[in-house]
Amino acid sequence: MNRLASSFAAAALALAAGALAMLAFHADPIAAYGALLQGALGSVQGTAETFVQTTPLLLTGLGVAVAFRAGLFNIGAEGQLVVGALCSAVFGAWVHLPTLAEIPLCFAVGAAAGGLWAAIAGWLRARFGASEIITTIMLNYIAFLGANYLVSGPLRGSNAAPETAPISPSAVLHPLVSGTRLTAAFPLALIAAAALAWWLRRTVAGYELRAVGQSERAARYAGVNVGPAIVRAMALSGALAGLAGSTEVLGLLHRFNAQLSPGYGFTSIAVALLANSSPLGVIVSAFFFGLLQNGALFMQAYAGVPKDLVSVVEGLVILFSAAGMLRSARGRARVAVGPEGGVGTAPT
Amino acid sequence: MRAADGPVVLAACGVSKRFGALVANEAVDFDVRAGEVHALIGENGAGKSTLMSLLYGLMHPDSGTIAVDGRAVRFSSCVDAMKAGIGMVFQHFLLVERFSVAQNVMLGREPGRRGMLDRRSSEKEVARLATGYGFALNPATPVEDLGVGARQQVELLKVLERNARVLILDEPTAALSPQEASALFDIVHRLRSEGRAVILIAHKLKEVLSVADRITVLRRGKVVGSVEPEQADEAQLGLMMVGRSIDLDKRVPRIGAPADVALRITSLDVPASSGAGLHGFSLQARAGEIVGIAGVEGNGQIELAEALYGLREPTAGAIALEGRDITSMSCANRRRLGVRYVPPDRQREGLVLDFSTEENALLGDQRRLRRGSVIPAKTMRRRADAIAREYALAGYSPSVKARDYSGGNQQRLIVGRELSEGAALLLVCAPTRGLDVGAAAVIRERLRAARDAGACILLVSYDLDELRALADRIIVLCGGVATGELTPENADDATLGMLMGGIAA
Amino acid sequence: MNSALAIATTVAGIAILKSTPLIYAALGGVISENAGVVNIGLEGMMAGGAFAAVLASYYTHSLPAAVIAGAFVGGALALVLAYFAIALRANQIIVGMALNVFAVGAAALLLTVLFGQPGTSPEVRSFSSIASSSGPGIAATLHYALVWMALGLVLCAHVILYRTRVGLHLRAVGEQPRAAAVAGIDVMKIRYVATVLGGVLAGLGGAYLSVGEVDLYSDGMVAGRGFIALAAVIFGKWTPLGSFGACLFFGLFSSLQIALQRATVPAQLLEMLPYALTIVALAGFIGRSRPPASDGVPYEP
Repeated sequence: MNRLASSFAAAALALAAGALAMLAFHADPIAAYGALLQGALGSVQGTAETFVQTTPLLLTGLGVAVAFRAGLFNIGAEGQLVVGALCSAVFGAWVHLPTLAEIPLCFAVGAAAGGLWAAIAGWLRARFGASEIITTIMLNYIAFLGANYLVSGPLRGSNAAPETAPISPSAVLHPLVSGTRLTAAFPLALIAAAALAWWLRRTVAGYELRAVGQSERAARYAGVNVGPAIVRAMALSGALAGLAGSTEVLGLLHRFNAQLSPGYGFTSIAVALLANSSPLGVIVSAFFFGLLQNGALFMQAYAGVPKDLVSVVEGLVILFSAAGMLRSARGRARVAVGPEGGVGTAPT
Repeated sequence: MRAADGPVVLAACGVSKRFGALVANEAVDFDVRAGEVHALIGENGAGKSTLMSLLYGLMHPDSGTIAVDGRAVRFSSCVDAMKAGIGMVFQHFLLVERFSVAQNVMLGREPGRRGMLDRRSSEKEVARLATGYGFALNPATPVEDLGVGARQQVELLKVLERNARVLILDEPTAALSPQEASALFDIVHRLRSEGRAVILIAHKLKEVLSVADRITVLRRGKVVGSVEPEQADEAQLGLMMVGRSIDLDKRVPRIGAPADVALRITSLDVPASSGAGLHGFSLQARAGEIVGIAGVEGNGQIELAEALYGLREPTAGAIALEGRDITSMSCANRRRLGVRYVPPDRQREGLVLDFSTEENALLGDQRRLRRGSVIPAKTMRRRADAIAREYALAGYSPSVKARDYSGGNQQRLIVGRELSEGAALLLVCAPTRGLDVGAAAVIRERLRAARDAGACILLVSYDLDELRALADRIIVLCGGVATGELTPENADDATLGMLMGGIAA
Repeated sequence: MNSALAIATTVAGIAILKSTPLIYAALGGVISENAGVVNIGLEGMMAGGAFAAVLASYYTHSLPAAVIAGAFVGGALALVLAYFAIALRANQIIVGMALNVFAVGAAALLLTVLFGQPGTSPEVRSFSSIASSSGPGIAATLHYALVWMALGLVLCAHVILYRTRVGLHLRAVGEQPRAAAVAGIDVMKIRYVATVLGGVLAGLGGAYLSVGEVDLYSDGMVAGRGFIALAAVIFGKWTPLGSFGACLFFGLFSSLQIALQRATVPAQLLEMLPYALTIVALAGFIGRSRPPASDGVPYEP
């Protein structure tokens, strides 16, 4: 309960600080936040678009959260998303199957690719004690640059822009509500959250993952093979981010290009922190950030407050969550690095 | 010239210190004179470390005073204590691994002009000091390249460089080889002859008798008495340390005779992470028998237990359980064969503190009892309920976090879990350390019941009364080697103490 | 022959110019991490510094003021990190991430609010704009002043860390703070000063980017250089000279990629190298890269 309160306090404080900033440049915070809400939830199209924005945040947020639960800090969700999206797009363009087979396969490819990409960091951590914090950051840039190279070179599918060829029509996720971009990806992400909550709580693998996250030592005494458990946790985390990439490709862009993600994978860290790494909490906090991001454009258009205010609020949410975590859940924050490899602590 | 008659330089007068309900020091009087080696002995948890922390300014007494040269002082930190001429060598060294010997010794007091370091004069100074005490230390060597004995010399130099008048040595021989220990005592004698006061915290009786001018015994936070070595022997000191046995420690005879040999250990070598390791250890234990392992903490007991449990790989030797070689079997598979472990650190090893009671009740058996890939919710709940019932777990609810139980209840939960389906081989380390009498009694009773039900139990304990009360025979470890085997009847404190100190009986 | 030499000189020259902002930021990282505070917010501090320098130049038309403003804002952001990491003992990684998001967002926000044009600031007086007005000689001198200052700071940092008492104490605090505290060293004070100093340097690196290399601030102009600097810290084994070498090495790849445009090796693959090498270094394949023992670990007195 305490944690819930501290999450709300972090969000409220950040919004209040945003309001103060607006006052500083003579904008009306009430009008601005009003416009934001109006834009995000005031119409069918707006609400649908909020859900569209929520979807990748929800999936990547789940990924970061599951890593946190295993005592790992996955900063690489953005790179895993990119790798997942790229592989999904390439597969979707190359393979032509009936929709019912093609779409699940595209998702599976995206998830597998993201999972493998993240598993590299897990393996480096388990095998060499290399901090997953640093390796996931580095893997992000390798993913961005590699994807960039591939779409401007070997995998370039169009002459007009550096992007892959469009996916086959049978791989396209069509909007659920006409006139919007809302696809089945959103309910799918909700199901993923529920499934992850259940998996963490009820399965042996989830139980062992949580045990490793809470106390590597006690897990070892309980017969858990800690190294492989770490690799598996990173792989699961990356698979969720890869899935987020797939949904963007299949539902929105229908191909891969480098501008696919405006930084969902980075925002997902804020999403997971605010949710205290609870999968069901991630639904709420992903919606919160999805709402902010979608409403920001309306806020800019109708209240004259730049949309970038939302980034400032987001930064403050992370900052205040870090301070709140300390007060409410001291025991949950623990050093999560190998003996030699690296740096930093991570919440679990 | 044994008896020191120099002035008292450092004294604790009637100091008391409590941590919650635990009384760590109660009205303790303790002093040390110039030119004297004053040993402070006692069992683990007797309050020695607390007393030293009070003397060194790391904590403040709840009541009573600390006096230097007869004047009451109040140190705000150990920096003040050092200024007053007190230096302490901690059991766990406080050294900067990547710094050189000289950099460590001179830290905070580096010579040099205008803030620049003068490495040469610093190394020269340290070399002079080291040579003076006969330490073969190169001042330029990084500390991370040094062995335990040399590191201790660096710690000593840190204190001596500040020209401390009082040196507190906390368990200085705990991690030393016998040769290193005897070299250390030469230094201690040297320090005494220089007129310094030395407080030596120890529990190896022989060492204490050979090096100290005065010996004070602490038990359960109180001073039991002070003696001079000429008037004491090991048996007497052992008795003072351990004290009278209480009802809790009454022996309960075994029901029935032990059965066949269940556990066969052949010349096992286990490397140490720190401490002694285990060397050439052999043992045959029967089903329905409790084998006690006695010894000062850190003499190979944990290495033995963890090698049997499958967490530490032996470098030589073999382990067989019920005729089956398990030397290189994984921990999870050993659990399938009925190997159970009650680890010494219940909070960090025995439990996941933020897991619920029922989740903790499953720990270790999550794979064996799983239903498909799902955790067995009903079994888990039933097991937690059964433990709560049988062990009278106070404040039980399946969803209460393990963190929220008292130490006694945490241990009941662990023992209950490890015994919930019986055990073929039960490894138990310090099962009642820090527990109140009630919880200790429950746990001992359960261990006996498990033995009578046919488990082979290996009991590592630092509590001699507990060993005598529970074990059917007692094996003593010193430096990772078995130094003797006793029946509980003839395991008197004097004999045990000598074997624990490495003297054959 | 001659043309090969000319290309080599050009490449080397560009390499040094390209690596200068990295050198500032990496040096900042080296100093704070040696004191035990991980600064993952270098990227944000560079962005803050870059933006502040443009702002100061816009309003004062003074280049020294611009550089000082960059340093000041970098330091101010680092003070937030210091307060949360040292006083509150919050997770240093999370606070660093927060600062990255915050600083980049705040710069973008202010860009719109102050200049009314999202994305890019107006052109301001800068080292390169002087070049066009008063001839290349002075411009080069001024521009290179920042480069020379970076080199000077590397040497200074090396001397301070390894030759002075303060530096020794700083490293002791990052390795084994308890031993330092017992020796009478003020752990908290040193960590605060080192962290803020690290931010000042990162801010200088940012200022170099905006008023040194170009004459404006644009969104995303730091473009991961803060993280490359972080990589250089690790690749340089947490030493000033080592990370300086790493920055030069990384800068060389950026310049090669300019020199070898459309050559055999694609630019992105060259750019990837710093990141890949850092992973290799962390895994211990090319000699162990080991952080200070208490790097990132809050100290509880």
